[in-house]
Amino acid sequence: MLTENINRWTREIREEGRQEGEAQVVLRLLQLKFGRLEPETVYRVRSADPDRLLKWGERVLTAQSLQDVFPPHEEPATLTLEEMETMLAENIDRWNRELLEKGRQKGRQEGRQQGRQEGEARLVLRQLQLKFGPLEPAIEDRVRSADPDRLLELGERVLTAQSLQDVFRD
Amino acid sequence: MLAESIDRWNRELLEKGRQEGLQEGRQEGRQEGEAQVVLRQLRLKFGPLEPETVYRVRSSDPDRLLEWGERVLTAQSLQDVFRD
Repeated sequence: MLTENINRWTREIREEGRQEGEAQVVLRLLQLKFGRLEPETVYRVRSADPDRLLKWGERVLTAQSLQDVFPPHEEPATLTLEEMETMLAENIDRWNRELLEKGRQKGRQEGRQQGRQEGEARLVLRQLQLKFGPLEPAIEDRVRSADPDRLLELGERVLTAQSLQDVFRD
Repeated sequence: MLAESIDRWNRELLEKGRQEGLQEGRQEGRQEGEAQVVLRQLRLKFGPLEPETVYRVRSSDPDRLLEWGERVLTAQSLQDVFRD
């Protein structure tokens, strides 16, 4: 167990060391050939993997310029600040739309429940008024505050009721 | 701090959406409620309804439904309700 770990660590350290050694050679060659390097170039070399470093090392031999070693099409994919802002703004927009839509769905459900009850009450009230004339406020309140099933029941009774008492009996 | 702001922002957006949805849902619900009462009364008075009749009631606007609701009270036939 311990031996295994030691072996693994040794391997990792050796790999890191190799990468560092290669990076150092490439940096030295670049400096000899092209003079002082930009910090970005140094950083780029230091953080490259060993295979990439070997390739750069080969190129240095024949390169006429830094671009020959680091051709533009091999540039690491980085976003400009502007691109990052656009991306962020788009994500925020999408997020906002999704939240609004989620809220709307929820509200719609709630509103629909309320509306159904209100619609039933409106219709029953209209029929009661038509059949029995103006209603006492107490009766009106009673209808407006009845639940949807009760309203359907009241609606059935309105059809055959001879008086308000027939509708509201019980 | 940021998390709190985002939380608040999220809640506000949800609430804004909910308010918009409430209005829409309420309109829809009112129409549905009226249609439901009219359908129930029509069935009680005239027996099972043709699918076309059900569809016609379900897809009418609230004012038209009130009008039909008034006619149901005195109608002798489905034609009396839907004449016009």
